[in-house]
Amino acid sequence: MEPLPLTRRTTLLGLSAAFALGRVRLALADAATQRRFVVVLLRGALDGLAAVAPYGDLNLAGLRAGLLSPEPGGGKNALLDLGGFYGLHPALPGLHAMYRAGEVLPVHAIAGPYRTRSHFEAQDLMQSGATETDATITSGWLNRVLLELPLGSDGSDAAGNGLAVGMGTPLLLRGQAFVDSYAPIGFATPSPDLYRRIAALNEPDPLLGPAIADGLTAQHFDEETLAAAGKAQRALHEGYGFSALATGAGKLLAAPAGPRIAAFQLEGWDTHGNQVALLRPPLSMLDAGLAALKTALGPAWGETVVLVITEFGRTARMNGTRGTDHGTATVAFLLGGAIAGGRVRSPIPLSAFVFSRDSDLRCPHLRSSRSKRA
Amino acid sequence: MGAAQQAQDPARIHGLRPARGATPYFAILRKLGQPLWAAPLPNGWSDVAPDWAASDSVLGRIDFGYSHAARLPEADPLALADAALGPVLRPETVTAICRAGSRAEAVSLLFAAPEFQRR
Repeated sequence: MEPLPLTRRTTLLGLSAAFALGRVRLALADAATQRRFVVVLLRGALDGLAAVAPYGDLNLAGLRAGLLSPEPGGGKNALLDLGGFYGLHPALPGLHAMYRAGEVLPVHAIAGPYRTRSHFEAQDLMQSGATETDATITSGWLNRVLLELPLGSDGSDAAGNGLAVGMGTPLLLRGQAFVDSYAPIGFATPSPDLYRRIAALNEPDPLLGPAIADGLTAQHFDEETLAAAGKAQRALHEGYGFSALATGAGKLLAAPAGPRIAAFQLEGWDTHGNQVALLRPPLSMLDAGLAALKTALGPAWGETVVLVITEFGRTARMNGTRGTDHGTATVAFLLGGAIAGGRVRSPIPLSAFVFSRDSDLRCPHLRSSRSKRA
Repeated sequence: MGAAQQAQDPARIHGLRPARGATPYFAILRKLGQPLWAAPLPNGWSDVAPDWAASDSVLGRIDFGYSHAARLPEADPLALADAALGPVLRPETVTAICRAGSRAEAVSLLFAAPEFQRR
């Protein structure tokens, strides 16, 4: 099947104006009713160099020796090779299988056109498509895409409604167009890391402190089990796990008259400390969820594009608490049966001009477009 | 929505429910340990803090706070904290809110803070 005319520029670097005005909208509109587009928002800033590590880059070990997984072939927790220079994080075996099938296109060293280092502001800009100087846009770019989709011959909304899955409708899908919102029955539970911060906040309280600590121990949310892969696997099967949501949403998207556009939001990526242990559970969740989405979509996977994005990147250099701090560029993933993947799109070589003096991962494309304007 | 319609809703079959419309408040109250019209007789609901501080009920409130936080529009978490708690707001809670990875996380931390729980 012919790949969708999604380009790195329109889809990823130009999430702002380019998405609403450029070729992506047309690609979706031309696709009429059979193509699906799913956005997965990673809230908290994914470390792109951990998810897709340029292990062939000689600068990497000097910047973050304490964070690196062994090179491909180096045992059970080694990187999964993406062709000799990049390696996928070992918690992403499902994504690796799809990559080998040519269905995943990681795009490295990319960033949105904003430079704020506030999660809240950057997540708003990533979803609204507004720029820092023009914050008047209050709808999400994906909602605006819905408004542009063609109507059926009977005047009905041929593409169906957008679908927000999980808790609440993200800004990405809010706006004029009607969006369905689905959530599992019952309460969601915070991630182990958020529970831990809540427990710390309550620690001085004589009643609430012990109550929360005991409760979390009973649920095995304590420090030792946090890093265990088994824990993440168990969480996957709970109602609000990404896998469960992705399965439900995938079946809805696969239905002949179902929605054609959906958005998920996943938290837990803000790894300022103890990154190696804290990043594994959310990556496992992402991996299993994407695989579940593919399974649930069935044949419709061949006409699906999934975009996985985060608000900004993290520093290349490891900080004093074995984590990384807010940075500029990161990695995004395009996947689906309609993607011409199986390769990593990135500036080559990634090092040298990409790593800045303060060891941030820069986005060369944005820098060059800026200097052109200047 | 009638029972027949509910049974036909494809999302229900897939383990999801439409999140639009009325929030199922009865179920929430039951889950938080204070079902409507079901106060124990003859004394009614306890007004002693330890009776409300069992592990599972505290975690239930935290989970509800987390679920509810995600449904709030993008409000400024610090402004919300200030409006809700004013002078009672602790610096530790402000720090936790500022360090949160998303607004939903920040508001969850506010709801779960001891000064909010005890307000």
